[in-house]
Amino acid sequence: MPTPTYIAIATTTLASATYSASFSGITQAYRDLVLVVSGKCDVNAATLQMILNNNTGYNYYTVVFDQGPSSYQDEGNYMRIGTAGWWTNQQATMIATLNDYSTTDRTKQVLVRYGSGATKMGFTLGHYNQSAAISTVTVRTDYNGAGYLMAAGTTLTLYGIAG
Amino acid sequence: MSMKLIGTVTVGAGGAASIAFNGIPSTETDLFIVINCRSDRGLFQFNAINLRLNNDSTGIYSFIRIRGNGASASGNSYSSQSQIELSNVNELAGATTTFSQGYAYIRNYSNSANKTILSDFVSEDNATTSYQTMTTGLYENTSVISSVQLFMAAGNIAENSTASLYTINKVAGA
Repeated sequence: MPTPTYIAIATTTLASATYSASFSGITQAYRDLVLVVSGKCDVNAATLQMILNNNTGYNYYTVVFDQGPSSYQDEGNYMRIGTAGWWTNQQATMIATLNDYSTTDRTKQVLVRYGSGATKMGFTLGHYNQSAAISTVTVRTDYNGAGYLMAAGTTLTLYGIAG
Repeated sequence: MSMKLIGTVTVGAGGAASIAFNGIPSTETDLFIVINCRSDRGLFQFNAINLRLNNDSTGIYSFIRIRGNGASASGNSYSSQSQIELSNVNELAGATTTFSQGYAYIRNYSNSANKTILSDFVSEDNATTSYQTMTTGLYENTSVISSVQLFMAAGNIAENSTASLYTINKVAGA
């Protein structure tokens, strides 16, 4: 949940349909990060994924609570963000809070709210089982092919929250 | 600071039909509304609070929600609506000093895309039934948002309810 300490660190607006977008060299000056993604899938539908510190090892665990309502667990080489195919060709928003991202003594938790307003929505709790400070955040779709990409005009904004 | 307080409305004696923020500057990126409210209707324990943009009551809103009431969870979707229902909130038939809490996040309010809304709400009470609601809404209009209205499904927003509107800018250093 946003607080009055929101400080914009960086923002990206995609010029063309894109599979993956990253923020790197993230300042360690804050306690938490908030990543807001607003846009849509270029043609069909996809699911967004998050990769931290370019680490694609088997380090990510996720629990999803969606519009069903239903809940399920996922784990693997990326952090799953939401219900399968929720990122549709309709405008949608995702807000992810990365807690304690700059600490080095604990693993990382990510809280995500997502929704398209028309078809799917939900809440995700993600766990990244590494304790290194987060300096790179990557968002990508679950399939690298035309029709399943983040559409041109999609914006990704990273905010810092002081501890 | 990327987050700025635009204004706070506190409902006066007798309640109010709505809380409105008008003349919102279009210079920022997102809107964030913090709401603390209850209904002055005296029929039931809860009443729905709604959100409308640009005072537009045409049927171009849709929303889906997940809701828990202490006993079960449910999910519902709605289309062609004239507003977005954010949540059930307390009303006078419940505990008289209990207000419901929530927020609504409106992304890209000043650009030419359709507008999406994320909202979370809780309405605790001295009773077994209380609501926790997560809602996502879509306003299929590309106009810049210059005003926001909050209103109950029936009756007025009760005295001492408050709403604060913040803007958030995605530009670093803004």
